[in-house]
Amino acid sequence: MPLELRDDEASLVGSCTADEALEFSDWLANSAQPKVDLAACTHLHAALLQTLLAYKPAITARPADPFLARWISPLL
Amino acid sequence: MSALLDQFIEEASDLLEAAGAALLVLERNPSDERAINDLFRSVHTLKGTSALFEFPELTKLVHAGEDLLDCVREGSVPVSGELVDLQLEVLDVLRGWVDYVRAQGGLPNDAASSSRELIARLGAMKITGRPTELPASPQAGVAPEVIGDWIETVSERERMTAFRAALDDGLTVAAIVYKPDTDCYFRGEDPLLTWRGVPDLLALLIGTVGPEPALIDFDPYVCRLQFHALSTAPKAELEHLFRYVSDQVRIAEIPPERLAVPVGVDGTDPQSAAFADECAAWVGAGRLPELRERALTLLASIDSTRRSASALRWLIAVIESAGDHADWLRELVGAVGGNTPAAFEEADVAVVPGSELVDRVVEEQRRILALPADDTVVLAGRIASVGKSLANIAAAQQAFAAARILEGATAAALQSNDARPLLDALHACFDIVSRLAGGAAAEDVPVSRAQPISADGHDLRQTRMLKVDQAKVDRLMSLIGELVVAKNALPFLARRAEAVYGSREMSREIGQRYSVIDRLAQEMQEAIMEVRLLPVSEVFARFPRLIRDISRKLDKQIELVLEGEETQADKNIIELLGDPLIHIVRNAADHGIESPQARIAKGKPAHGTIRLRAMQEGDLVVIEVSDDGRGVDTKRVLAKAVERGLINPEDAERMTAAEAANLIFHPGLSTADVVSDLSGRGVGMDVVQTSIRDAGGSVSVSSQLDVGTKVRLALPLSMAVVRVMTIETAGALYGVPIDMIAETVRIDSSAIREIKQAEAFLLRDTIVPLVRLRKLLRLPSRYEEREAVLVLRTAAGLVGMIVDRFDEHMDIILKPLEGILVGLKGFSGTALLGDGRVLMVLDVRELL
Amino acid sequence: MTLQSAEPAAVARRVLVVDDARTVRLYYRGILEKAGIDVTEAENGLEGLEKAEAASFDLLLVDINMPKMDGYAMLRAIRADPTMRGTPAIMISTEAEGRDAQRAYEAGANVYLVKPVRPEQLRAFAELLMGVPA
Repeated sequence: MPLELRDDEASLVGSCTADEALEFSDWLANSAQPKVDLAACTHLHAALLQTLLAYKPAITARPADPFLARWISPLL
Repeated sequence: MSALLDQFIEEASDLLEAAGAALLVLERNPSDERAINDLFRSVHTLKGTSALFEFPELTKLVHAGEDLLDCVREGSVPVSGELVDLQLEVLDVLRGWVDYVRAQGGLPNDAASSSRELIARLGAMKITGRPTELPASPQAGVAPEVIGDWIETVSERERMTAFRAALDDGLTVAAIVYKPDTDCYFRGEDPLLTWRGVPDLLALLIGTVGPEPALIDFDPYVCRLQFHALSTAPKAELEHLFRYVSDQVRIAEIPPERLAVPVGVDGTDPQSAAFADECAAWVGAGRLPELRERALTLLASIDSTRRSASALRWLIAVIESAGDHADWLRELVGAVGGNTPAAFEEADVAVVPGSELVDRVVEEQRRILALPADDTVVLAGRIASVGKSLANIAAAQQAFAAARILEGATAAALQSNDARPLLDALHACFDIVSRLAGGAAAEDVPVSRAQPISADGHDLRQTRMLKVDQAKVDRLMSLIGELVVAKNALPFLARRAEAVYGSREMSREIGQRYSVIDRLAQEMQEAIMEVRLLPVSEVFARFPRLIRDISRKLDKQIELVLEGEETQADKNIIELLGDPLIHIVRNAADHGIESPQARIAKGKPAHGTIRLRAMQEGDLVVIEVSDDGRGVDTKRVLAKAVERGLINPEDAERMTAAEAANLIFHPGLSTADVVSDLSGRGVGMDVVQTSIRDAGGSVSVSSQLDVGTKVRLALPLSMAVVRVMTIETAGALYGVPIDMIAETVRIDSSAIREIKQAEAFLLRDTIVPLVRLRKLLRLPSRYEEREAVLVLRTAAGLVGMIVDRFDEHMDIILKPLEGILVGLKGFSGTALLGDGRVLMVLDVRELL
Repeated sequence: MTLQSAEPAAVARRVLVVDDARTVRLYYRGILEKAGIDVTEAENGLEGLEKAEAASFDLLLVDINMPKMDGYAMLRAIRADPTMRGTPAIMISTEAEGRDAQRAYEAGANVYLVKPVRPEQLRAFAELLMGVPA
């Protein structure tokens, strides 16, 4: 499961695709203070990125993947 | 435009026919180069022509066809039967559309879908050489600007890495703009996955398009992302990588100097300014190691977030890089001092439209001159055409002196076979010309932008209004005034260069620079005057209420007519008009307009009319106040004037009605008791006259008994520059307005005659009374063998004024007396001189 | 003191339009003539060169891709001729900026524009390069 949703924290794990975007954005919309863990994320689909940019959740762990760390993490 | 469309239909049919014929030749002989070229050119011409019309589907399809043919021409795609089939199919479709346009004036409804489908097949054949049926992309992306302002938002560090890669390693830097379609996710596209594969990515900016939607409306599957990036990978490799989304991506190579843009906090400091001044010449002199040292030292001592610091870092990077880039260095040295480099100008464009066009074209000319030229003929051609273009651009800005300097520099550059003199003149003339004269061109016309006219594109070009504190405008005005004064030192300097230093050439050159500065100073003056203009409606606005109140109180019927309210004049003039106008209008309403009964008895309409009319006459603003009331009884005015001893009976006999009417401005006829006798005309009219005259204007009245009265005020449009003659007396400098001076003479003290207590002298058979300025100013007196006399024109005739010494003529901007000087009699104002001294300007009328 | 001698006289400016597309020439002609500018047409570089040699022009408006002689070659020839080399030139192409612009400037263009050129854009550039006050 690339998307692990808990009460107030979600983890994106491995290669996350567009399929996860709807569920993820619903979860973000319904959490009061959502937190997101990206440590184990190896790829983020653009749809997920724009979801993160729209809801601006707190990022509890930064991605280790070099591409994400270099270009995406600074935006979040 | 329909003639143009007719022409297009005809030409497009011809081109399609020629393309079809060439295609068939090519099928029989795939290596027939002429056929390929003919085919390519026909399609290319059709593309360019169709772009003049709103047929985007047609243009795109032709473009895709041309792309494929380009590959054929290069040999990367072979001519096959399938290729010819596909191209013929495209030509058939196009022919059908052209016929449709001929009949209907537009493209058929299904043009968009068939265009998409064919473009996809052409694209597929380009990549694979085979007509694989790819799914058509639903909509082609709007052509974005590849090399644009966004580059400056890339961090300086990233840009510098790219810059070094370009100059030191000889790599090309590509700019990539990727604007994915909103529905791209549904086609299985993942832009981020594509970016992951981009080699040598140096910068990646990710942004969202359009306004932020409310979260409630947020749809994760509508792609709103857009990307801008820099990469040093070869353009062809990048194009290959983005081939499946090629309609959403634009890739272009960036010239390295486009990266070297200093950014940061505005503002300058003395150190940086001194650096820019001192080091400007070092670039040309080749003192680059020294320049680098200075830059490093300065960089260590100033705030690193400043734009000047950024300019220093770029300066160092450019010096350290390979190659000769004197122009960039010059620009960067200027930027350290706070100049905005040309490439960074765009943010200010909305405020000064038009200067962008000039700036850009001038910048192109600078780049052309900087191009390497391998032989002298090529260089001469460039110098000649760039020189001519620049001179014309200057002339278009009305900067004719600059145009001549550029022409001279062009000749010098041609003679020495070196672009440098022209390059220097370009810097000298356009640094100022383009910024100041920029307001001239009304339209903002960017170079090389292929966008069609779009509604949103125009928003930027609308006039933007700026609210500015009055004090700032006043300060600007007085600074310009000082500039006008300061520039007067240059002709003097030119004379000295020749007389003292014996350099005629330097003298001439200073003279040339002076004429440029003179011209600019004048234009600045006009520009600032324009900023200060206010419409007359500012003053007129209070009159409807005034008239209403008066007519109620006096039981009169008065109609007020306002004309020419949009006429403009300087703010000071407008403000000064208020009180005199109220006075005149009050007079007209109180005393001019009769009661309704009296008017009916005279056969006039019951309601009277007061008309305020403003207009511009040359450099004067004229305001007329006319009424259809009882008018001035000139006979009684004359009788009263004689009775009061203001004029003698003989003069009264000879006076015209107009002259008699103007007697009401005489102080002796304006007093209240006289006024009540004269049906009220003329109350305080002498005050009106004085205040209008003080502002350099004039008042006159014309009147006809029982028909009406017209008072005419004429004032200068603005408080323009006053030309004065400076005179020295008791060690101090005074100014006298030139237009007051009839002539200057020197007389022997023996020629001065004493008549009672007064002195006089004979000037060509006329006795001219003499006054001494020292006496008027209560300074210790001094008598000379030969006295310097200013002969002044006054209302009472010529008057001679003895001064110590005459000095030169000078342009000044007169400032009213301020502070403790207010109320000082005999002076109309002050002006600051180029050397910091204050010039007191004499009010001769008041003084005498 | 003011110096005013270089003030342009009110003579109609002359532009040579060189493009192989008739419609494009007609389009430019319409825009320029509206601005009171005289237009002469040539349909390829060779004809353009001949016309430029036969009469003097204030501005050249040159397409790139043309039969017989392309715009680059024509401009190079103009720039090498001492009597014609000073005439300002605008090069107009369908290709985006980049290499083509660079080549245009190297060949002798003073301004490079991308088709389609908007009427007010063409007019502004032409008038600026010919010294007509805006």
